[in-house]
Parts: sequence; structure tokens; C-alpha cells
Amino acid sequence: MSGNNRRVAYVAHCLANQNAKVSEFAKCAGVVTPLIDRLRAHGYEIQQLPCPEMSFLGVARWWQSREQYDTPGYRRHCRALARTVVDTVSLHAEHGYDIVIIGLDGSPSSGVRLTSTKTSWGGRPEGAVAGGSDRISGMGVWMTELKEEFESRGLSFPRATGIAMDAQNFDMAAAMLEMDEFLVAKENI
Amino acid sequence: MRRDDSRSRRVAIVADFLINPDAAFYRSIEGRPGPVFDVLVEDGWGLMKAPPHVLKESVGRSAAITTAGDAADYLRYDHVVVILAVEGLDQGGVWLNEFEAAFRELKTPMPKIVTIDLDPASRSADCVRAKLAEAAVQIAVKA
Repeated sequence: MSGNNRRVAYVAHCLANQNAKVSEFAKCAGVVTPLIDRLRAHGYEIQQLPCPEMSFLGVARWWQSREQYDTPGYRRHCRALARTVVDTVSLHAEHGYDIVIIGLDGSPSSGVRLTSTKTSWGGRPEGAVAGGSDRISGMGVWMTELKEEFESRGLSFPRATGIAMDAQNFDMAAAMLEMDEFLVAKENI
Repeated sequence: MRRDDSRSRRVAIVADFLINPDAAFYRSIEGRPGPVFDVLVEDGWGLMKAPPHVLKESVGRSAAITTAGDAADYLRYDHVVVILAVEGLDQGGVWLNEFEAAFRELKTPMPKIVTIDLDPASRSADCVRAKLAEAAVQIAVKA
């Protein structure tokens, strides 16, 4: 593959490591195989974003909504992680790669097109067992900070999408068809 | 309350070269790692992929600090954690020096290191599985 058609996908951490998911949200053992197989079939190399929720609150964290994560301290944590990511992206940019970001739609942190909301959450956590948070359009806190780190360096945020594994009624087959369209669109540019 | 789901509770900190051996910046490296990525996927390992070892040290250090923190938390909750390094690459291709410093700072033992050779004889899936199994057994015995 020549330098001009090299491709790399920066994927949300949990798409390559379901152990990082908050309790009850892991859909498979480790790697989300349908997505990774798709990316490899389309000639993408794989880079993995860090999981800011995991490094901030650990594997035993509670479910939280975007509103609960949207604090100055968590944003600072996300921005620190973003610096390392953009440093790595620069290596791929220097080598002429096309770069895409695959987030996790529905996530309070890693959503690209869809994030979570539950303004009533806080305090005693058992209220979270009934139905979880709702979904609204927009980016999660981590993706917002990552985008701002790109822009603060005068760089464009790469083309990005999300796989909605954190949304209710998730359909993997439909999500993969949509992913194919996203990846093929890049090939046709 | 933490409820069960499909996670494996097995995590591998992996050298970038083992996942992306054909990257543009690895052209000068002789040898290829064989089906390590496939084995990790098929056997349900979660990945914590290190950044490419050709990046400047400050990037590797920062990533290692974050990843080591995650790993320490996994260990606290009874997950298996291993490091997959590459024979012959600087810092095993996985920032081993940075990880040693990060785990020392956390007062957490360095996870077992599995070193992948690039010679053809060591490149089979069975060979990779045997090395991972050996590391997992050692962790179990130690626990």
C-alpha cells in the first residue's frame, strides 16, 4: 500500500477492550470483532484511544450520565489524555495516513453522534437500575475535549463516527452496514 | 453492585508492532510477528495497545502512566494482565522502561512479560497461545 492510501482508525478504547466497560455494558469478551474485522478488511491500521472513564474512576465505577462527567476536573483529565493522542496522530499525519475516529455512540464520554443524559442522577446510585440514562444528539465529554485539542493546535478534527453499542436497542448488523458506508465513503474521496 | 456481563477479565498490554506490523514507520524492521493479533481476538483478550515505540519518549511515558494505572485497577479486581513485547525492538516495542517506572510509582508489581520472537519458527498461533498460557498459569500460581 503506498503512502497515499494508508489508513488508520483511532477507535474508542472499549472497542478493543470490553473489560473497560462499566458493569453490565460489556457485549463480548475482549475485542469487538465485527468492527475490527471491518476495519482490517478495509485496510485500516488500528490505534486505540485511552478510556478516560477507566483511568478517572476505575473498573468498578458506577453508571454515570454526561452531566455527571461534565466537570472541570474530568475535562482536564480528558484534555491531558488528548495531548498524547494528538501527538500520536501527528506521526500518522507525517506519514500521509488518512485518519478516522470511531467513537462509542451513546457513551457519556466517547459518543460522537449520540451521548447520554440523565439530569436527575446523583446521590444514591440505585436509582440507575431502572432503564439507565437517555440518549441525545451530540458528543460525549471525552470526544469534545479531544476535538478541542486538535483545534487548539490548528488541526482539523478527523472524520469521525460512532458505533452505538451504548444505546438502547443496539443492532450490530445494522451498525456494521452503516460502518461500511462510512469506511467506503472515505475510500471514494 | 457490579453485575456479570460478557467481559473476559483478561487484558494484554500490547506493542503497536504486534497489531500494526506493516505501518509505514516500521519498514526498516526485519521479521513479522505472525498471528498474534488474531490469537488475542479469538481468545477473548482485551487490548491495551501501547503507542508506536518510534514516538518520542515523553509520549510513551505519558501513555504508560495511564495504561499502568488502568492495569493496577484491573489487578485490584482480579483480572489477568500481561505485557506483550517484541524481541529485538527498543524497549520491547512496548515502552518497557516507562512501564517499569509507572508500576514502581504505583507500588504495583510489573505484569508478566510475554516476549514474541520474530523468527519464523516462533510465529505460529499455537506458539503464541502457549506463551500466553504459560504467563497466565504463572499469574494464577503466584495469586
